[in-house]
Formats: sequence, structure tokens, C-alpha cells
Amino acid sequence: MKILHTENLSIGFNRKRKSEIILHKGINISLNKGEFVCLLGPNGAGKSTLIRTFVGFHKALSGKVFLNNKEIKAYSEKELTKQISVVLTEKTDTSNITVNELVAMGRYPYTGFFGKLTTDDLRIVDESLEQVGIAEMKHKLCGELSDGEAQKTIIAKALAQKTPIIILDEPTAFLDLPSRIDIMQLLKELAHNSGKTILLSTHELDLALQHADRLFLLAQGKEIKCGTPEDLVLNRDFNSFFEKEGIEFDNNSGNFISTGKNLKHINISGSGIEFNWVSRALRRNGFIHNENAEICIKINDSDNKKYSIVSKNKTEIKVDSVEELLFELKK
Amino acid sequence: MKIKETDGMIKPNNIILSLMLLLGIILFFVLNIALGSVYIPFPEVIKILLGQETENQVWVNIIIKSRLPQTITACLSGSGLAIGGLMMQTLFRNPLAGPSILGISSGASLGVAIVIMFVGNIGGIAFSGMEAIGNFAVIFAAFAGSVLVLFLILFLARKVKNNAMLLIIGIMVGYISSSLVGVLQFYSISENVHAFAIWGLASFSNISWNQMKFFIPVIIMGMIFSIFLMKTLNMLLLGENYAKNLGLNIKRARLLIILITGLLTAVITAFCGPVAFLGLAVPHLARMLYSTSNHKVLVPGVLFFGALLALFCNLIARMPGFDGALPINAVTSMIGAPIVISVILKKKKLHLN
Repeated sequence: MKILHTENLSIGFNRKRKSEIILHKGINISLNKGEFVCLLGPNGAGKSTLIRTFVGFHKALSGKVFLNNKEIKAYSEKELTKQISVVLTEKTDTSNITVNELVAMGRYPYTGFFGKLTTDDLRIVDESLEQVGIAEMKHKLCGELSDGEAQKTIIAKALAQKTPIIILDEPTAFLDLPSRIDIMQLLKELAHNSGKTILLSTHELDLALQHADRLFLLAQGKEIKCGTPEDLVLNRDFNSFFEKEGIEFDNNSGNFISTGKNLKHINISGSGIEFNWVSRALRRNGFIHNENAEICIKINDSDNKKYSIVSKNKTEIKVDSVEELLFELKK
Repeated sequence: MKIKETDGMIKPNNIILSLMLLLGIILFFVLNIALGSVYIPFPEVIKILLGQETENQVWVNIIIKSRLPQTITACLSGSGLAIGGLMMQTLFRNPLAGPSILGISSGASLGVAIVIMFVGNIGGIAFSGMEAIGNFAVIFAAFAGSVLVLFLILFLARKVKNNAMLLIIGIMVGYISSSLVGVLQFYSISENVHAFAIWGLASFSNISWNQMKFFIPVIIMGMIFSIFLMKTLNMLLLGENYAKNLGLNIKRARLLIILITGLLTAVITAFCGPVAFLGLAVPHLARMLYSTSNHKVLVPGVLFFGALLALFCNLIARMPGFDGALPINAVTSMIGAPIVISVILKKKKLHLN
């Protein structure tokens, strides 16, 4: 079920007395209820601008954004605040207020003049803290949190706002890898378990590929692409959006690999986890797998000397670590 | 320890702290009235305050006509400037902002400088020669100058979206009026320059009961409006876009905050001169004392603390030994700055945003 969709939307900046800068035009996309969608694209593609246009921070240059089949312009600020909540990259001055107080601000649209919270509001705040898993930090000051916990607090604030849509602008920037995965999983679960529609922009291609229900690919000068991660990979859309000279998207592994210019060919034989990691080490050092290559690397399962190098004239050197293997190869 | 579910001011610690501040205000209020260069026995002070008969009419005059209005002025000015400072710091997200950051008190200075030095020069007389008319002219000039700057800033605030830019514009307006004041000083006779310098050191003792009829309601109105802004100020802590997403009308909120701060500052500066330091320091002290940036706690806290600190400074300025000789600005900074430094050193944990 469509909850938000655009018709021929153009995004960009409207400069005073000068011509407008169009970042992207002809955008026709839709978000469905309970769906976790990642918006991907290189820097400068207009991801943030698109997100800001959805939320109403930015005016669309032309075209329309619809929320529940009603144009978003027709919503008052008060109505919109109960429809879409945001997590932004903006710096907040909240280091001296508690996690509880910050999340409680998510209830402000529902409270009266002085922002007095009812028991219902307090219960919703508690539930939101529970949902993101930081209930035990509720009385800590926000300034004492790690970056990951701080991000979860802001997400809890968005949850407390009780909106059907949550839009996040690069929520995983500045976080370490475990926290990034943590946040992505959290958001996916929120979308699937509580039926919220979640859209986030990110640079984490691999995480997005693993977690998103659908992806939007945005790049300047290209039509926006939508689809499940798998479809986009199989259609080679991923390659066309992100490949640069020297960087290639490996459709088999779903990873980006750097392609050096002078690759040497080498024949790697073997299987299992050792095969994967040896291939990786060799690739890093500028060797690429080719079955017809003269030099051959064998991975021996039974031997205690694990790896052997067989050169042109069939001489064999045996080594027992990848480090030694690379050392021998470079000689 | 289980902490009870609470919302802002209702935390037990905050209630105790606020009660202590209130007690402090009452104590210093009474001390301000009881102590001074003329010794009046304490029972007599109470009698006079309660409106009972006393034998010494001079004492009645001192207390009712001088000390009482001065104390009330100190109290309200302290609160008014402190709340203005808090609102500016939150709006501009800048710990160095104070109530006069937008050039409003510089506007007042310019107005007063024009009256004291320019008009004085044309008349060819020393301004200090004309007592009663002079006092009214100074108040009027200061008010006119600051309100003029306030309207200029409000006009620009509608044009300039970015808060940092607005802050810079305010500071620039301040520079312009300071430079004009400098020019006036350069061409003035030394008596008038001195009179202007004295005005610049501020005083709570220049308000008569007649003027209080205007001063008290305006300041109290400003305070009530600032209490209505608690939720708005809290949302601004999150930044403009988050606040907008929570349904705040940013433009209106900004104009309201500037208008209220501007009016408070304009009126206080007109009657007391440019009181330094309190507006900048009290919000920080209150943040540290209550260990929070939540405005539901800070707004009342700052109002209490501002009054207390102003009363304390006024008392020091009028200590028997000094004979009313110390200007208020010397005391606010001399007393206030070490307090701020010591609190910062004690509470290293606290974040200054």
C-alpha cells in the first residue's frame, strides 16, 4: 500500500534572482507501508535534498509529493508533525539533558502549551526507549552517551513522535561498524514489526544490500532506480551507478573491489574458507585468478604446510602462512 | 536507587534547590533594605516596611523612597537580564550570547551619548548641571535608542534566515553605535564624557516610584512571556530542523524570542544603564547548579538566580564601607566572574554545549 509517492518531482535549490539549480528531475517513486528502504547515491547526488523535500524542509522545484494520496503542501505543520518524523545529521545542543527528556520531546506535538506529559506520554516514551534498547540509560545525560547510543536516542525520539513514516538522513555516519549494523538491524525490525515506513539515506552499500527491502539509487544525470537490492544487482544497475575507474562492483560477492591497472594472473586451486581468504590476499597484492596462468597456488587440506607455490618449471615451495606465501611470491 | 518518573521542575532536587534560591532572595531582599550607609535599627526597618508609625521620618524616607525601589529594581533587572541571556544563548546556540548581543544596549548607549554629549555640547553646558530634566532625557534617549535597534534587528530577522548571520549583524550594529559614541566622546567636554562613563557603569538606584509604575509591569510581562516559551526553547535545543519537524513555527518563535529579550533589555538599560555580566553568566550558573539544559527547569531557575545575584551585587555595592561608591558593573563582574570560574572548575563534567 502506497503511503508516500512523488509525481514528476524536481529537487534542487531556488536561488534568489538567479536561475534555479536542478539536482534531479522527473522523480517518480513511492514508499509502501511497513517497508524499509535505503536511498543510495554518490556524494552530491541530492540525497539529503530529496529527503528534505519529503519532510517539507525544502520546496519542490516542480512536481508533487503525496502523503496518503493528499499533496504534502496541503498538510499544516501540526498535521505533518504527526505523519513524518526525522533523524538528521544536524548537531543538537542536548548534552545537558537526559535521554528521557530528549525522547520526551518527541511527544511535544501532542502536548499542550507547557509541554506537560500525561501518563500516556510517559508510557510511550518508555516504550520507545525499550524498542531501541536503551531503556537502562534513560536517566543518563545525552553528553555521556557513545555516538551509537546517541543515535538510538534520537531514533527513540522519532518513535515517540508516533508517526507512520520515519525518515533518516545518514543515521550511520560517524559510527563504528558494529553500531552501524546494529542501527540498520534495528531500523529493519522496526519497519517489519511495527509497520512503520522507514526511509534512510546512507553510503553503506553493503549494509543496505543486506537489510533493505528496496533501494532507491540516485545519481546526477541518471534516472532514479528503484527495486529490491537483488534486482538492482542482477540488472547491473549497481555497477552503472557506483563504478568509477579502478573500482568495480563484483556482482558475485556483492562487494566493491579495487581493480589495479597491472594485474598479474595466477592460478589458485583449492576450496573452502582458505581459498576465499588467500584469493583476497592475492588480489590485494595485485594478482587475479586465472586458470591458465603459469604460476599456481595450491591449498593443501591435509598437509601441515598449508600452501604451496608451483612455478613455471614445476618447482614447489611450501609455506604455512599467507604472510610467507606473499613473501615468496614477491621474490 | 529508583528515580521517580518526573517531568522538569518537579524533581525533588530541583524543588529543594529552587526553595533555597527563593529563601536566598528573601534574605538578600531584606538585607538590601536593612543595610546601607545610614544605620537604621532592624526593628525599625520592619516597622517602616509594615507601614507602622516611627519617630524618625528621615529613616522612612530612606527606606521607602530609596532602598525599597532600588531593591525591587535590582531584583527585577537581574531576573530580566538573566532570562534574556538564556533565550539568546539558546536561540543562537552560542554560550557567549547575552541579552545585549544584538546591539540593543549599544543602541541605548548611543541614545544616551547623543543626549549627554551632543545636546550638551550644542548647549555649551555640562550635562550634569541639569538634574531632573536630565534624568528623564537619559531614560527616554536610552529607550528610544534600544527600541530603534530592536526594530532594525526584527526587520532584518525577517530577511535573514540564518541565525549565525543574524548574530553577526547584531554585533555589527553594536560596533556601529559604539563607533558613533566614540566620535561623540572625542568632541565632548570632559564633564560630559565623565557623566556618560558613569551612566555606562549602571546603577539600580535611579528609579523613582513614578517610573516604577512603568518598569515593574513591563518586566513582569516579559518574564511571563518567557515562561510561555519554555517548550519552544527546549525544541530549539534540538536545532531548527528538528524543531520544525516537531511542529514549531521557527520564524514566529525567533521573532517572539528577540522581541521579548529586546524589550526586557531596552527597558532595563533605559532605567539602570547597561548592566554587564549578569545576563551572560546567570544562565551558565543555573545550568551548572541544576545540571540540566531543560528549559522547564532553567527558565524558573534563571529567574530566581538572576534576582539573587543582582541583589547580592547591589548589597556589595552599597556596603557601609563603600558608602554607595561602587558602581554596579564593577561589582557584577568582580563578584560574578570568580563564581563562574570556580563553578566551572568544580563541575568539570558539565558540558557547555
